Amino acid sequence: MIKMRKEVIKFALPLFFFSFWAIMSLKGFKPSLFNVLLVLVHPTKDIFGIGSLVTCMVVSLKEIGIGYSVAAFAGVIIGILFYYKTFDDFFGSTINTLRHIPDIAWIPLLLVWAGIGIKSIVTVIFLESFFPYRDKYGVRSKEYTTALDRIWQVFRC
Amino acid sequence: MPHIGAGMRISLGLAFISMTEAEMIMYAGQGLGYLIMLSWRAQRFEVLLAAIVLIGILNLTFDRVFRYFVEEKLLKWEKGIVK
Repeated sequence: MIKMRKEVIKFALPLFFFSFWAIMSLKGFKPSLFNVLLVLVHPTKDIFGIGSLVTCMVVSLKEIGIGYSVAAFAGVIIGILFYYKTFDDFFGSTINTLRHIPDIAWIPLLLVWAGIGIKSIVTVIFLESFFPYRDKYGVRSKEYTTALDRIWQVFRC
Repeated sequence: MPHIGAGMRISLGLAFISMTEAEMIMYAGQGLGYLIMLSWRAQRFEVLLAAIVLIGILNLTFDRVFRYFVEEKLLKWEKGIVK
């Protein structure tokens, strides 16, 4: 019973919001803002229809998939390499500087390099999601005593 | 491994943010960010809101799936966390 109550409460606010929206759209108040339900009830075939929403979602998911998986793979390897002090001294300050550049600042440069399209978007996603992995505290934690224990702890699943 | 998992989860959220803003600025002809800009220019605000909500739902779904598979299945052994 308590669990059911929790489920009901969880969806109450979005339901309230969308019912408010629906009532507003049915009453004809500011139709340009409030007729969101039209796109769901009457899926048109043009660029603004529901099919275009699905197509755009597939494209976006493809970009996220490529960019994020490459960044995760590269980031984990780089993050583990930061265990070595020489590597940290050599690359640490450079990567730290690059990390603090907002990814939105890269976009004009990437437009010149890669052109408009999926390539440059994937590169932006890679740049944004690559840097959080630089986590030497994970590899250098003092809880681990021996080197073997450290390797085991890093990859322990 | 817990640190790697945390980093992956953070950067998953960041990936969605940067995907949206890259598509919005580049006006790339595809993707949800492009749909937002296009419907904004055409004053079709219902499509705009639908795209925004869809991005939110996608991000939430990915985050929950990640949390389920990595933090509850893979990292079950981690101590000091109230489940």
